[in-house]
Amino acid sequence: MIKTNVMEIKNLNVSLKTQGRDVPVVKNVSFNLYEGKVLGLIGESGCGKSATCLSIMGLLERDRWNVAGSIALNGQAIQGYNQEKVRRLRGGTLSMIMQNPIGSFNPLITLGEHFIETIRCHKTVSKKEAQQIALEMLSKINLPQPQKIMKQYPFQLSGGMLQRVMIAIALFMRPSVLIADEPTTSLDVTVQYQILGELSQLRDNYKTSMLLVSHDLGIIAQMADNVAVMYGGYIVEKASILEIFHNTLHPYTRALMQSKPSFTKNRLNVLEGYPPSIMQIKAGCPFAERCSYVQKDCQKFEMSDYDLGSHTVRCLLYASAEEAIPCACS
Amino acid sequence: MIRLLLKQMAQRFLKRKPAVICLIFMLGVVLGGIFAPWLAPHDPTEVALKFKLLAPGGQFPLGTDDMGRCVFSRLLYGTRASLGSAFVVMIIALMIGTTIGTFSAYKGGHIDNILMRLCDIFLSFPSLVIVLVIVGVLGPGLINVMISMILVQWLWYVRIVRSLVLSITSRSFIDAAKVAGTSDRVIIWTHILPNVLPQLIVLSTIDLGSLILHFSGYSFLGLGIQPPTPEWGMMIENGRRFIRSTPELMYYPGILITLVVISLNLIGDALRDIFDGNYQ
Repeated sequence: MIKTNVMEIKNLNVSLKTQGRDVPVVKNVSFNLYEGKVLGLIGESGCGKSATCLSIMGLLERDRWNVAGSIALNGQAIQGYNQEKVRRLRGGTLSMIMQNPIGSFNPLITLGEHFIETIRCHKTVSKKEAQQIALEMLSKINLPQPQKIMKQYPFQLSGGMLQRVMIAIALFMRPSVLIADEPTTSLDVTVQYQILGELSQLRDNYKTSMLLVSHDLGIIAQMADNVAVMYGGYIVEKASILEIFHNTLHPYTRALMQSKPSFTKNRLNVLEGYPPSIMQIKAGCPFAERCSYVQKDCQKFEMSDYDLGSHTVRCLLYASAEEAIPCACS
Repeated sequence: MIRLLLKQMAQRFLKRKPAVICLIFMLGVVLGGIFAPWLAPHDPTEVALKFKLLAPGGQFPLGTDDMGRCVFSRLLYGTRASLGSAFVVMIIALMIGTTIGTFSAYKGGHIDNILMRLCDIFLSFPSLVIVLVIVGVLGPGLINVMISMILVQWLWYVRIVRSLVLSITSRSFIDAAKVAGTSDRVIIWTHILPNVLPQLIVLSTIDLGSLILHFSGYSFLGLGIQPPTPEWGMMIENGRRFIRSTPELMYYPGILITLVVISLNLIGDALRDIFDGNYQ
């Protein structure tokens, strides 16, 4: 099967403008999204996952954030677009599902109004037609009594139902890219699996490519075709799902795998320490302080991505001799 | 659904007896002002010196003032000037303040900064001084006092609306709307303003009271409405000269102003409790 490249992100750098200096949050991130495929993005909190999503959506305020790099959607660079053009893209070809379904709806208006208002921002249709589209979408995501739901207020629905409504709103324009920023963190486990099931069903139907952000390895294992592991703003390892789980290379990914609970009586291995604060910038590998494979060169070398065929790793362990060039600055 | 909510709110309001009494009183005052031509027994500006300074009773329910004008009629007509102008001032100031405050908060960045610093500059002058200066330049009169009060008042509304809008903008449903590609216009009209409205209603009800006080104060100083048009503040000023012989001339408008201001405050408090209850 030929993979169609839907979104291509190259050397994405995001930094927060503060007084004095810019603090890099996302560093040199590159990845591709393919049609009908899911890219899982995992990492601890504060690794730049959400910042990556928001910068793709063009939601980072320009006077507070610097976004550099190229983001191409269906072969077109969307970086230079003005606000209005980006807004038309959002919800249209580029959709996003937020973490917190309960907070994501205006408590004062009905779900139907949310739906209609969003539809009418993208399509020139009458209120009646918009309502029709909304009902269709709601029945597609297995919500009972769509008529009733349209008349209800957000507080009358459970978190799981709201998340489904949000998915319906995100998908009515048949976006080519769907960004799901931890779509199931605030839901309980059974609902979580229903939602994931619906997401993968919709992905198969619409051939949507998905960027799934999560810290739950189980979700990633179930959903993703490819996985990117983020740490300290970098993507440290990137491979297909089978490669990641069976041939884990980067020490950080290994540590992540080990801290997953399993049904044995062994004590859980915990990765000691915390991710580096974004405020401190050091040369070398950001993971060096917590790494159990650390070498004396790790904090000296400026890391780069080492391509091992099906696998891309950002770790000195996998550098061949000629690639390991000492950084000029250290 | 909305109807049910309104019904609940009305029920909760009815449980607050003082507020209900105040509301009935305010309705009475407002209706009295509107229907003054039919209710008033006399022309409020008709001078009849032979009836001057009469005690209450007979054809003059509250007696007459120093020019023989019917105090009751003057109070009724005075509602129009006092309440009516304060209301107009509040509405216009609120509209300007809401527009600029929302714009400033939503745009953020440099525009917000510049607008807020401008507000700070104006707010650093005492409002009385600004009103005095403006009226001094434009000359006394109802319209001029109203203009100067609007100029002073909208600054406060800008500040308050801005902070309210900022607190709404930080809620995640605004982000969700942006993510879904909703236009700024729709976000402001359907998501931000309806969420700000309850607080604005409470605020403006309580503010109306203080505006009436200010307005009467300016009339008392002779800046506002010019005689012979009746106005409560001016009636107090008129009665001041007869404080030893007929103090009632000051009592009636004074008591009326006090009651109106207290009523508006109590109604505003009750409204706030009701709206707060909805948000919890």
